[in-house]
Amino acid sequence: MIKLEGIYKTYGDTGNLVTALNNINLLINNGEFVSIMGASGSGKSTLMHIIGLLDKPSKGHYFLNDKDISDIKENDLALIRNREIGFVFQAFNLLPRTTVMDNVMLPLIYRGENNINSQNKAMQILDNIGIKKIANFKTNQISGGQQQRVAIARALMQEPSILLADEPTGNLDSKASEEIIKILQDLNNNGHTVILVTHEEDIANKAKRLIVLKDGNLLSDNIIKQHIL
Amino acid sequence: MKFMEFLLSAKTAILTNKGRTILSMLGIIIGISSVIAMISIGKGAQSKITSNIQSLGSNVIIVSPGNATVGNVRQGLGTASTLTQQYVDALSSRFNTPDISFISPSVSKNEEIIYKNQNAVTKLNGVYPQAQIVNNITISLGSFITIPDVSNNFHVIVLGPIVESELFPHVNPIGKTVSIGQTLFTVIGVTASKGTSGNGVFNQDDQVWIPITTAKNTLLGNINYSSINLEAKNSKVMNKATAEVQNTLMKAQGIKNPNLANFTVENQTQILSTLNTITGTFTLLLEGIAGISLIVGGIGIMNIMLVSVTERTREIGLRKAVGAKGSDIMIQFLFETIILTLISGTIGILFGIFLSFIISSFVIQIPFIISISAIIIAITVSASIGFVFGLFPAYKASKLSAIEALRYE
Ligand SMILES: Nc1ncnc2c1ncn2[C@@H]1O[C@H](COP(=O)(O)OP(=O)(O)O)[C@@H](O)[C@H]1O
Ligand SMILES: [Mg+2]
Repeated sequence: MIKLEGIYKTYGDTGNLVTALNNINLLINNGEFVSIMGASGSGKSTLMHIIGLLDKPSKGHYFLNDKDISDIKENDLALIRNREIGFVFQAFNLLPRTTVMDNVMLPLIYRGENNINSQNKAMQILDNIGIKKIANFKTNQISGGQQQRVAIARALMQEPSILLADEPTGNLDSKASEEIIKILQDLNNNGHTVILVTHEEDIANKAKRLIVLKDGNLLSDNIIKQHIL
Repeated sequence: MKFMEFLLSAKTAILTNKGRTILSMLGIIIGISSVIAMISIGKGAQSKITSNIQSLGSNVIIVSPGNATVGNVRQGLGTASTLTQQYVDALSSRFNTPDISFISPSVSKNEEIIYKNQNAVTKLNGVYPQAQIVNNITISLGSFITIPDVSNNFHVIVLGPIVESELFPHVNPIGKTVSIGQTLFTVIGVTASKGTSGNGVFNQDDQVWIPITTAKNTLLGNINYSSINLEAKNSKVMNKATAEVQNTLMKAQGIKNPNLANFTVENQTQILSTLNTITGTFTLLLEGIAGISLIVGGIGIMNIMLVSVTERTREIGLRKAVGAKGSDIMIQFLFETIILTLISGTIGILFGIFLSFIISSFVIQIPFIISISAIIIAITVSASIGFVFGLFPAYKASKLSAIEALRYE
């Protein structure tokens, strides 16, 4: 469960202060599938980074599973990032010149669990999302759609309770996009909390709840109609 | 195991930029190879000098003229010898020197020796027969100077192997007549090689011996002795015997203050330790230079690692995003630097061994000695350089904030 209370994020100093997030209050329960939309520069990525513990708010409190984690130490943050949160970036962010397999194994290495079991698990995940045959390819030898699936596989290796995807389809064609969204939907159906930032309305509507940001403010927060029974 | 990941990532990083990696390793390679070569050559030279000195004979005490003080002025080397017959007589007395078994005074001068149309300039020694024992001389052909040779002023000569090969490349020299100036000598013997060759050090195979009486009466005039070599009874009494010689000579000169002595008494141990001090100082100097090149090499590596940290900022961000702690990043980069310096060190060791082999076999003739301790030192030093100079880049990498690093273009 994610609970944000009075979250602010500002950049720069008094002369040219940019308020990226302006008093955000938000509650996301376990198992939800939330889309975040908004114009470019409205604060979507900033919000994702704060939820994903990659960045800290300037002000406000963040409760993860009822625990206030606004002020915890860097090493403990690393532990939560490793165990609880999977992050999928628009720019894929894979290790270059490294095999798909080694990329997918990366989170478990920092957990000290690089063993035969986890290698089998990685193969299983690659199989599930249809890229088992490129397991030993280097990441610079595969297509954008395949790279984004590798990034998702890497996140899935963590078995995170929360999966964050910041414009995961932004660099992909429509066919690859559809496949990625399908994977996210499947994950949500298996109980993962999924938060998805996107520009495209039809992709956003695949989620169950839609949040719209404008200039760092929460403009709207609605259940998507086709999901109201 | 995280270790395997560090290894893999180090391999990827090193192989990605081969040219740059090799350039950055050059400083360490040069530093380590010069350390290895220097230690090896130093040890070779030392073992050569030691064996040269030991071949002088065992338990030898050498009295040389020198440092004569006339008035208050110290005379330089090369002035007339101060070793008089009176000194030899005093040393010959059992009462003065109970721990000395043999005494061998000699006169020496460089002379030209001629046989037919061959000639050789060499060191001529006028000696008593006991020079053979004291100086550890082995005869390979004929015989050495004998007591009758000395008492009868015979014109006989014993050749060192180098002189023999220069004058008699193809014939047996025994019984042949050679000339020194106007004087003719019959060759009665050739000595065996001492197995040492001179590089700066006097070559003991390049000299000749004649009876001391013949030298004084016919060739050189009644000059003082060039040196007095003595043999102590055994190695245990070396220091005692050396003191006896020193005291006898001081009494003979009539002085109480050893600083006024017009002679120098040294034994093998002292000569060796003097030479070792000199080579030690020299080695220290060279090691200093090698040390500086290693530091420069370390700075080169640090530089390249700083560049690498900057280039791989996004990678660091990503690793942090999936759960790497600061310490994980720190160890990863430190490990990479140490691998880099260890590879450089290994190349340096191989190159250094090659270098010392070339130098000891072709440039100066010294034994080729590889010191295991030098190799262990080299490996330790290169790993330490990696550690010390890797710390700063690794620390810098570990402190990057995840989000700043991911945003880095
Ligand atoms: N590191 C930064 N430094 C300064 N301003 C930033 C930084 N990151 C984001 N911003 C600003 O914060 C606002 C929100 O950015 P962002 O969250 O990236 O928007 P979105 O993802 O919705 O396009 C923008 O005005 C952007 O310029
Ligand atoms: Mg964005």
